Amino acid sequence: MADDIKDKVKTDVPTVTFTMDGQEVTVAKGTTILEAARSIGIHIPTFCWHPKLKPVGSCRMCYVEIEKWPKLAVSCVTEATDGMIVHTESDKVKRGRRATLEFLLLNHPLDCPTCDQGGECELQNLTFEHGIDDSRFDFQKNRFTSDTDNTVFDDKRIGPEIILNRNRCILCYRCVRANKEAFGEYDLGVYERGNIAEINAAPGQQVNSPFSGNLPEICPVGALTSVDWRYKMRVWLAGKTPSICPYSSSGSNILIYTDDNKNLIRRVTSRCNDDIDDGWLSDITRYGYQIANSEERLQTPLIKKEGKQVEATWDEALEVICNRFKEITEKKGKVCIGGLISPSLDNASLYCSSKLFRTVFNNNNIDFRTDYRMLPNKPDSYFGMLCNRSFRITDIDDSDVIVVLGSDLIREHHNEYLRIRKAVNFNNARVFSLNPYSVKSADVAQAEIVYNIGTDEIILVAIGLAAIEMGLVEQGLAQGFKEKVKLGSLAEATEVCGVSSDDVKLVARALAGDGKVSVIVGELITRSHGREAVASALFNLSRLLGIDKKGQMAVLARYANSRGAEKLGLLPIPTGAQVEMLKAMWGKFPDAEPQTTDAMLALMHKEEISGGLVLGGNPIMLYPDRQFITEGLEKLDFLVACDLFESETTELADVVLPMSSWAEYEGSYVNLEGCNQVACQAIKHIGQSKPAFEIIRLIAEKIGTSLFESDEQMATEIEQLLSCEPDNATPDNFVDVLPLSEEVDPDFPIPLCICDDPHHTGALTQKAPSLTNFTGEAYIEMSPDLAARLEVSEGQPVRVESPVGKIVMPVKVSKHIDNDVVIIPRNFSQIRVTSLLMRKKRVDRVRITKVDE
Amino acid sequence: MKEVIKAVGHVFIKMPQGLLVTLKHLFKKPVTLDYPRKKKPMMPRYRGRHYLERYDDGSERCVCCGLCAAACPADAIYMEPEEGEHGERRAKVYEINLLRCIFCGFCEEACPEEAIFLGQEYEFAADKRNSFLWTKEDMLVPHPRKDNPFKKIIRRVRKVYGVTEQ
Amino acid sequence: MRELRTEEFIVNMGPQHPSTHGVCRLVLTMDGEKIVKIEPVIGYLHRAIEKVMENRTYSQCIPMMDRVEYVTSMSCEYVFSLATERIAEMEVPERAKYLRVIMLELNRIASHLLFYGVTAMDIGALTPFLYGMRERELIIDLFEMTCGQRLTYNYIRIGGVSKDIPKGFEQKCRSALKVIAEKMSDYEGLLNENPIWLKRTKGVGILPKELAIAYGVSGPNLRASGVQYDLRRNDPYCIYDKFDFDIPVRYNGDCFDRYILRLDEIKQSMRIIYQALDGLPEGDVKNKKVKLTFKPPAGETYTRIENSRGELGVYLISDGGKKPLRVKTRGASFNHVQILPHFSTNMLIADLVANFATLDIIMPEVDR
Repeated sequence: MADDIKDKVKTDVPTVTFTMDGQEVTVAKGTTILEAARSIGIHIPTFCWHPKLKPVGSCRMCYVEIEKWPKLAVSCVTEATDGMIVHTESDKVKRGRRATLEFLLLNHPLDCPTCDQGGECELQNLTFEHGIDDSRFDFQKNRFTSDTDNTVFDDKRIGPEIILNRNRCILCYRCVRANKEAFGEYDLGVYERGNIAEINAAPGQQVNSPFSGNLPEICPVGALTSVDWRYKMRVWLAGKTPSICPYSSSGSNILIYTDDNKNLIRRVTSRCNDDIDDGWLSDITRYGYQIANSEERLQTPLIKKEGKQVEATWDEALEVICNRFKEITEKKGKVCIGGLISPSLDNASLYCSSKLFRTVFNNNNIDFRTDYRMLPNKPDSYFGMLCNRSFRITDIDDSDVIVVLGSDLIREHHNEYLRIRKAVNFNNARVFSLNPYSVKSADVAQAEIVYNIGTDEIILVAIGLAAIEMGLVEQGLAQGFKEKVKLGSLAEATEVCGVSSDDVKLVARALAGDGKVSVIVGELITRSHGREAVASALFNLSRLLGIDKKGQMAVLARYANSRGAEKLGLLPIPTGAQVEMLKAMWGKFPDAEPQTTDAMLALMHKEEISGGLVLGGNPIMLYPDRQFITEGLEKLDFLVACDLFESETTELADVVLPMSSWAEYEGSYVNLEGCNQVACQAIKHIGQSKPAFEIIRLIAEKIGTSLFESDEQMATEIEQLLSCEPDNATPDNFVDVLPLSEEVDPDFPIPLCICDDPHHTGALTQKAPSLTNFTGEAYIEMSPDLAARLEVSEGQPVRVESPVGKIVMPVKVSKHIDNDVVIIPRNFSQIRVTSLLMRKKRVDRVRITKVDE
Repeated sequence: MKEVIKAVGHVFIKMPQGLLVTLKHLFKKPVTLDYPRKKKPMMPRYRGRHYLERYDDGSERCVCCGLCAAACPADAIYMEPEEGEHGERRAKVYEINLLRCIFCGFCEEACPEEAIFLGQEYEFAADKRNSFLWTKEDMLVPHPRKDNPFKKIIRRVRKVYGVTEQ
Repeated sequence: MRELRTEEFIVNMGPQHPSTHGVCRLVLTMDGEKIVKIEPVIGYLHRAIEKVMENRTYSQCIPMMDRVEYVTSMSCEYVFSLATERIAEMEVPERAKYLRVIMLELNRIASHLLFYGVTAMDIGALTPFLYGMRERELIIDLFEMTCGQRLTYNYIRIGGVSKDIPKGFEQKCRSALKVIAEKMSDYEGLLNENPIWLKRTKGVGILPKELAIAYGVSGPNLRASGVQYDLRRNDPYCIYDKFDFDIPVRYNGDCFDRYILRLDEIKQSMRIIYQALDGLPEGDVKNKKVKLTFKPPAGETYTRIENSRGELGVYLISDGGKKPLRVKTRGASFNHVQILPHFSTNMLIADLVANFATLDIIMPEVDR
């Protein structure tokens, strides 16, 4: 907040000067007294005020005395004016605050010993500070009893992970406001009024938004507590370690609370970083830590002997790995070993595996993009260029126009979704959501454009054409743009996309304006076949409308360290600058043919690659053609898999090595804007697990080459690679847009999208019990219309068939979807959703039939 | 000669005096106790072994709030909370390491639920270190509540919000 | 005639020796039966209490202070409480002050009774030990009655005392004092004119006034060398200025004087207790503002009081947090061990034992 004020002062906003506790303060006009006080380090106690929310002034705790004012002023809603003389610590103020506290305590039960908030309760602290020992209130306190009368403590579960105790509530409305303002949810509200006013979930609803975990955290008392932290331990006994979220690509800053006696993580809270997460965490970040504590973790290395995996020691396992790899390389040459690396690993692990493949195995068979389909075996130029553009999360805040293309942000990029909400709330940003189906996160959008699936690039072209038709661009540029486009007119383009031209014109006008622009390209594009076409269309549009000059456009990296993997040269074909740098560092760089995931799998089928290393992740579950990858991996002579848990991939492996989770070692992660952040070690290694980089280094040493002379060498090499800034290159001129269209098989008419569930990401979070409390099993999400046509209702199973596979799963009817696209989350291993997919298709289509019971 | 007379005087006058004192003590009540067979009754405020209290209905008073452990200057108390069948908070593990305990009585003073108190017993000798680790079961035994005017039982039943119900 | 070859030899007295009152090792260089050189070796009872206290809250420091010098625990608790109260500029209820004086003086009597017993036993008389312990028991019972513990009381707290005295305390205290007063004549009768006792103590181990002052000797040992210096008079704390009592002084500085002076002090302490019991006001016994996580403002103080061995001081630094930044305790026995080599040489080991005993050195206070 202090920075915001300084910025305002800089940009010649009118200022006011007043006196606070004898200090002269100058702040921007419109700043409240409380904000001004915080900016100069004066502490004023508050309950309802929260730095990220609009003030309401309901708790009356932040009283200050202003000279010549008849009464005490509520500083969080009082604007500072010129010449004011403010006292924040006078006796009158103290009496006022004391009285407020006494009122708050009238109905507050004194059950601190049983309350989970005890020790970090703001009411407790302030009561202590003001020394209120006794109550003058002798009557029965107001008591809300639980609806289900089986608990002693009137606790009520209002969501999968939230417990409400209305007796403890001091009605500061922080939770309701945060839910509404920051998260856009309306499932929590204030009911009744006066003495019996209560916070409660909306009737018949559960508080289960992907941000619900924030509510207990911002509750100043113990009214909202989390199930996850319930009765686990006292907060003052917990060790606290700063860390980074291993699931979110923006790298939310977190604080890990550990039980050092038992070597367990107890909970995760936010560690507010205004530049990255703004203090809000998604539930995935908050509860995803539970996988580290899981009982199912791999404890020892496993070696496959006579078709069965048996426990072994590290020495045995490394011995086998070394011998088998040597055997394979002697027989077939070093090119026959391939590696699939998880982009959720830290920099050291990624870099070590890159170095292992490129210097020891002397090939380029390494990739981290296991869930992308049809990766070209050549540098994908325009898409690669788009990936290599700089992006700043904070720039979303002051953008005037935000365009989201092909992404349900609430399922992929929670932080950016909240940022966009913030931009709408505080900066009146206009948001446009362009998606093949209507998404939940479009509720902030001024216009939501739902285009026909598979026409992602055409919609961008249509925007350009609309701008030209409205005469918003220069003639010369318009000419250049039109030349590269196969479509002649706006009407033709909108026809293909199936959208109304008025909506497109709205977007075109907004983009052509002077305001700051952010264009965000999401996963539906990047994972799909059409990414190259979309990238070229986007570059054309940018050239036409000058987006490049007045804002940012970016493909958001998907995993915790995807950006780091790109920067560390983990792509099969690193950029030229990276190759130069690596050559200089290693003294050599393999000239073998680079192989992407798809190419490697194809080579496995041909048995040209016969040794494999899967480091973290579960490619079988995520790769968009289950049969293809399973067969490929099965054909390998020798497969090493390192993971936290047993999975579909480790089942096939000849040697399974237990890997440490991110909390068990210190590692750095590069978030989607290129910011390198360090996650400290919170707990000791579970079982015999080892960090991924250590495993790689051990393998290399066993084979006979030491990757690094010292740890410092590794650190400097990584640092050097990360220092490469994105080049922000754009094509020199308009480029060809090559639309891809496919024939629709009439037997399989319904398009299918594979997404993450809002409460899950990747394949690991299904091991976190709190997250499975939100969503425990797979479902097929469809519009009410489609459900009606299929004659199914919520929860009924349907058979989903594609040309290659069929699965049965229950239906989830979503009111916000209004076309015939169905969505299946990919996070649940019990439903083999990827077996429906064909990697060569741009759009997967399925047939859905009702299962007769 | 003078010396000799003095010495003889000592023998005949001072020594019998001294022996008289000894003789008197023979008929006095001894100040010592026949310890293992007879025990000294301790004062009501004596701080001996720990007990955990129950409510009259038999439920445990301790809610495992951790304040005794926080107050303990010797880090002798270890506890782990859990959720009981009625949603109440209670101790899953409650251990006092008597080898660490210094019997200062802070746990008793800190306890907001009047659950723990120090009783009269002081004989802790044992031959295994493990037997000094007292668990919840060891301390939840029936006991005579000592009459301590400064640690009166206020609540007979589990507290619900509002006025204490007697 | 052939000359005898003589040679000095070294005798270790302690660390486990019944007359060292704890674990003190004296390395004695002997020339035949005579002591040539004494080198006290300390540290066997070091428990790092000062460091431990830096990691404890102020309230939790009180039971730690108990263990600095467990013969007069009350004084140790009191000096720490007083230091904290001085930093926090805190009011202490009047009744608490009276109770503190009563407890401090009772503890002084208990300590001197213990001295009487063990000193006589060290020198060779067994009966006084039984006498001393018998009467000390009366006082210990009073403490147990008040605070529930017999040695490490945890009674005097920051801002007052932990509990009010129970019913019947006053009457029991008066009768105990009466018994002790009666028995005092027994004590004196047993030793004061005992020729063996006089031979062992009169003129033995004379501690000159100048040496005592130079080495910072304090308490009864200093007063036995002829310096009338008592912090209760010279640097009054608590409410000692309200009471009428004498400071006994002796001038020879030998073992006998140190012994007899302590018996005199018992009588003076009893006078103070009677006055305090008579004037005991009603009211609170603890400042209600002090909580478990009490935080004094930043500041530092050196606070000293007169305990039964001499000057007991605490140097306390607070940084405003809930734990003290630094606690240093100054025990009188530390100086008394140091002085030992300077006036106990050229005598027999048996006399050294008498010296050690009458200096009333207690090792936990030296090592902490």
